[in-house]
Amino acid sequence: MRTFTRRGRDKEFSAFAAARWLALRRTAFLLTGDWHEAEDVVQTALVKLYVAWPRVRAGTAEAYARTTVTRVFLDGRRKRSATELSVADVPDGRPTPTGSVDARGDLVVALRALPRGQRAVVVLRYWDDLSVEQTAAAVGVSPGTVKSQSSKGLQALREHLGRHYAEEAT
Amino acid sequence: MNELDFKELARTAMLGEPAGAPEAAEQAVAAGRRTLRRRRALGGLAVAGAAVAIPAAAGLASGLPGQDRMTVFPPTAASAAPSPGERQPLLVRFEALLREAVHDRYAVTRAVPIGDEPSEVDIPPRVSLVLGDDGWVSLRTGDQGVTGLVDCVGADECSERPGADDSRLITSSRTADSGARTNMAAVIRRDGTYVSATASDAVLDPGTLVPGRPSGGDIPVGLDELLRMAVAASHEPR
Repeated sequence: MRTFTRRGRDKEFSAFAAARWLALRRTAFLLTGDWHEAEDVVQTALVKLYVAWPRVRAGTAEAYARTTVTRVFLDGRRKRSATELSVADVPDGRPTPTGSVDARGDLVVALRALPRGQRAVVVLRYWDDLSVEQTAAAVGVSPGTVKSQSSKGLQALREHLGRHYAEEAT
Repeated sequence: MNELDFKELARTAMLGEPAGAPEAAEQAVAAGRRTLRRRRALGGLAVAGAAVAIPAAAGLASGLPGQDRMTVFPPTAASAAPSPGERQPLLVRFEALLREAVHDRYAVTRAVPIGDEPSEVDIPPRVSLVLGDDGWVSLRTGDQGVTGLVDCVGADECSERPGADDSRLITSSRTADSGARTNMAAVIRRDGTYVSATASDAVLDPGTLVPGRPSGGDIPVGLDELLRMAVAASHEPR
């Protein structure tokens, strides 16, 4: 464990958070499909990271932060259950931050159709370029599960986006 | 689709990315400091649920927003039926809290398709109201114990509603496929102690709630009795 003065800890952590915040928010956006929710996830993760900062070894902070973002997202299912209301009718499509539904949201819509664990695997593997082993560590599953889930996830995205691709090709 | 396609689509999906928040790091530092302070305040209490629950009970009794005073009944009053005059103010306050939870703090936050809502078992049962075999609704501690406190303290929702006595009220609700509504009210005190109670419409309608077991010996009688009275009072003719 590293030792800090409070000022030193805050300065080092703030520099890290400021440098990585946008990248973490982008990962969280692909996980959640919503910029505001992504900011909540990242903020919660950063608070946890701050608390754990003395235990975070030098050079591993980014991996630690990404893992925390992923775990906060995955754990968020429990919190959602206590804060969401179910409705009988769900509007077609998902609104983008600007309130309209357009092609930009296609990948987000397709990702949200994936189970949360599978979504996390796909995003970490294909957006953050993590290895199978790194993804497994971040999500908390075996490397074999990462391989199978990433394959299934991509297949599901292909099927979901197939029509869109076909239209673009013509 | 391959990895490159995924990246291209992801970049396209991010075209509407909002501007960054330069204060995010400072906010995380401030929230992290608060979490550390509360952890220190809790000290070893995290492994002694009852020890935490006792001051938390006092927090519920004295920390509800908008109330001038609420009577805390001593443990010796556990088996004594509260008088009608004692019940009604508690009921009014309890129901008002739940109404606020539904209509004020958490309206529909997100649309979830029927059948896709998380299972009830996914709700961390910190402290829950259950209908005992004796017909009383009582408290039950869950597996999460006080470990949920840290997550709660770290969340923005904890600072949403300032209450009296430096406490803050967290409320939430959800409606299950069956139409049953679950409301949660939790009080966080400035010293980090907290209590939460999960109730549902079934609390106000005995017979629809799954029978539970009476609260265990580690439940503070004052809080247990307080909520018993609130529910019992709700069954009185108006």
